[in-house]
Amino acid sequence: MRLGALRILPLLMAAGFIGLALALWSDAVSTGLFVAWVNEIMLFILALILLQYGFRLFFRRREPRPGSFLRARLVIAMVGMLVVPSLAIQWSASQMVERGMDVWFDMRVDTLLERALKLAQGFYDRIDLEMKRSLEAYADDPALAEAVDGGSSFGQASDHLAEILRKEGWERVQLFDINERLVADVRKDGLLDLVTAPLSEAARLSMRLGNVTTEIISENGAEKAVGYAPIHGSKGGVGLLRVELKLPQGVIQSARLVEADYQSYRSLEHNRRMIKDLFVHVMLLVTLLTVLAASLIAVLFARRLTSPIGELAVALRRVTEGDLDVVVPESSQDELGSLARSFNQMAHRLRANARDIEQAQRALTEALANSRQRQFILETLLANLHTGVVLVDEQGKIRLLNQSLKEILPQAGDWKPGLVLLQGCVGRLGFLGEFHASLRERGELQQQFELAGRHGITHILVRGTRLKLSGMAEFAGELIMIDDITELVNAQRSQAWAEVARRLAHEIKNPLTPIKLSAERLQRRFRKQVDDRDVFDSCTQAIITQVERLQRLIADFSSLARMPRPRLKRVRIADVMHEMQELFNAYANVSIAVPDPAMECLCDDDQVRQVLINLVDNALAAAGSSQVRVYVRSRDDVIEWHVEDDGPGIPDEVREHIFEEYFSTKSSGSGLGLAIARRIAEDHGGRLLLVSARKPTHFCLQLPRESMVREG
Amino acid sequence: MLGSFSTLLRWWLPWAMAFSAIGFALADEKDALRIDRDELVVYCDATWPADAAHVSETLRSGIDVTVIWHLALSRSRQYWLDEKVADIEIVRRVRPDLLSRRWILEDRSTGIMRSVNRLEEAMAFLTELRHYPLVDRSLLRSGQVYDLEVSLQSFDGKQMAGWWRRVLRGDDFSARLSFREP
Repeated sequence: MRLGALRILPLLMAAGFIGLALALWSDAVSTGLFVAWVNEIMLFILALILLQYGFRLFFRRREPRPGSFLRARLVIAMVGMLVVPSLAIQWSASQMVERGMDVWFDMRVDTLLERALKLAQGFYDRIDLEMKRSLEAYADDPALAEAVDGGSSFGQASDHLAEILRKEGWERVQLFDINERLVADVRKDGLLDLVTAPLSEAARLSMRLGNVTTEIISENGAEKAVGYAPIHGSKGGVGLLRVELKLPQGVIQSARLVEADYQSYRSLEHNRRMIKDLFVHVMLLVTLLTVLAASLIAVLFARRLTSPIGELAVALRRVTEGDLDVVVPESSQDELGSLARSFNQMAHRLRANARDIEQAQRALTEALANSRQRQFILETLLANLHTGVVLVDEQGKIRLLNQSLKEILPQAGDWKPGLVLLQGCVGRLGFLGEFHASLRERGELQQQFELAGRHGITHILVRGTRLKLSGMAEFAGELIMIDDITELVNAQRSQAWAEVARRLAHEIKNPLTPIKLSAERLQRRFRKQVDDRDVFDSCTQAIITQVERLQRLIADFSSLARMPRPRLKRVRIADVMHEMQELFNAYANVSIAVPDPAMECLCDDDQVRQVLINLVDNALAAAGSSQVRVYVRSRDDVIEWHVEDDGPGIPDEVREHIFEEYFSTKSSGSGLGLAIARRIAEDHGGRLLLVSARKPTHFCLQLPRESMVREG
Repeated sequence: MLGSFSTLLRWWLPWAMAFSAIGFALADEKDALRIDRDELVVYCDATWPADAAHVSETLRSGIDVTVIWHLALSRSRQYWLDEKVADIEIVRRVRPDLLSRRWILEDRSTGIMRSVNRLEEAMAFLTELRHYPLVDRSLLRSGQVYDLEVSLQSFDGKQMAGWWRRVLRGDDFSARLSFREP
């Protein structure tokens, strides 16, 4: 049965009870049976209880309590099992009563009783008829009329009445005058009464109306027929003759029994419907009481049965919601009690499991946090490490690499975890594949490589070691670390050259001055004495010129060796560019663009000016009459000083060496100009770049806007 | 608002329906009722519009018929319960004597018994109250309004006894009359 049908079932049952009560109301009113009213009251009470329950159920919106649905079904089933047979029994019983009544009130019984009553009535009718006939005969009796008129004595009248009594066989004969005074009185046996009883209403009516009449009087269980006849005297007097006839006791008793039986029968017949109603109502009462008792027992039984189930359902719901501390009472020892015990054991195990899971989860969370922390530290370390790191597994696949690797090796920009290292080591990166192969064989390796790039040669230091981790994180592979040591190599080389220059300057500079002075003295003193003055002049001049060249060279060496630290100050770039304009004013093919006067840079303006002059000198030397352009750009936190020329450009084979010390393509050059310029740029925290080798030949000096002076 | 309406429906509607049904079922019949006065006594005339055929047939079948007249006179009061002045119960019974073909009339209130030959007399004895002395006028207050309620219960055969008779057995006849005492 569905819940919706269950909701309206009490209302339907209540409607049924009310309908039944209303149908039986008229019966109760007409019969007045107490049991009928009891039934009515019970029906209404049941209907009201059901109505109240039904309305409460119908308007209830919240979910019913667990077990209520099962309880309702149990009650309905149990009551239904009782109601159906009860109704069948009631119907059968009422049919039996109906049939039985048809038999009881059979027509033959009716006829028999009717005839018996008529027989009894015939006896009374005959007595009445004979008495009236006799009395009518005596109504005109002259002796009685004379006695009424007072014409005869008491004795004469009594004698005449005695004669009548004897003749008619009556029990008593009395004669009254108009004033109801006793004139004469005779009776068959016994003594006369001293006090005469007053006349009855019927006697008075007979005397007044002049009719002969009779009546039956019962006395002490016996009956007597009493007759009255008016006597009219000749003198106008009126009297009353009263006679009594004692009815035979046996006949009277039989007749009265017949009458009683007849009345009982008629009463039963009259109340036939009421008897049937009584039976029906008694049966209905029994049925209602049975249903009520059964309902109460069913409710109690169902409540007792479903209460543990409801408690279990509530407990299950709480367990479903996560409350594992629920405990179901184990009240009984039956299957439900066993179920409750099993549930409690299950809840206990769930609690224990949940506790274990919680502990494990906590440990796992902690481990995960530690792992994440370690991973985070490792990732941060790798990200901030200037050394390029790549981890290769046993299959030669990259498992891990950091950003520094891609910055050191721009060719590895598209590397990612999962890539086979050998597939990535193509072109200029071929050395790394060879290194990895060697590493696999040796287990640990360190090599230095030189990579030619657009901005010159890059020195790479590659170190590798073979990893063999055991335990939970079982791993086998190689860890390769790559460092860009270009600056270190350059610094070492500069240091070496500086040392050489310092020693050379120290050893060569001292004798050059006496040589030059001696050559000049020779020229002044012995010029007039020599034969071939031209040869003398050219030789001495050559000595002086070469000594001067050596002095300049030594000066360059000295400046490289003793490069002073830049003295930084806030410099207006426009001022520097104005000075450059004035300096190269004589060159028509040099165009110098002056930037916004507000543009400033924190730098040593003398050193910057030295770099620019060097670059412009180189451009003029290479470009000849071609155009040379100098301009400044500001980008983010960098000031860029650009020098371009439209000359023939720098050959490819020279390009890689132009920033090296003592490399020069000019016969008179020291090969230190660009090296010093680059040294100045690096001392400022910037760099000097060859942007383009030809068309145009383009150098760019990048200096930080704010101070980034490199520590000595 | 909806909740109180729901509560009204759930708790009071069934009882209201029940009491309405009972009240409807117990509604009084209206019939002619008349009073008469002389200097000392207020008399009452009432007639039960009985099913004459049913009563006569019952009597002819030899079954006793008993009627119980109940006369209640009360003084009407506006702000208090009515004051009962008179409460009279008259029990009359007609017992057929099938053998002598007479009807024995019994007034159980007074103990008077007589017999008549005519059924009409017996019927009138049962169905009519003629000039029945109701109350001594000395008990009534002049100018006051009085309510007379007359009801009748009839029984074929055995008469229902006990206090619950009037509760369980509805009246076969009832009438009400108000009058002002001069």
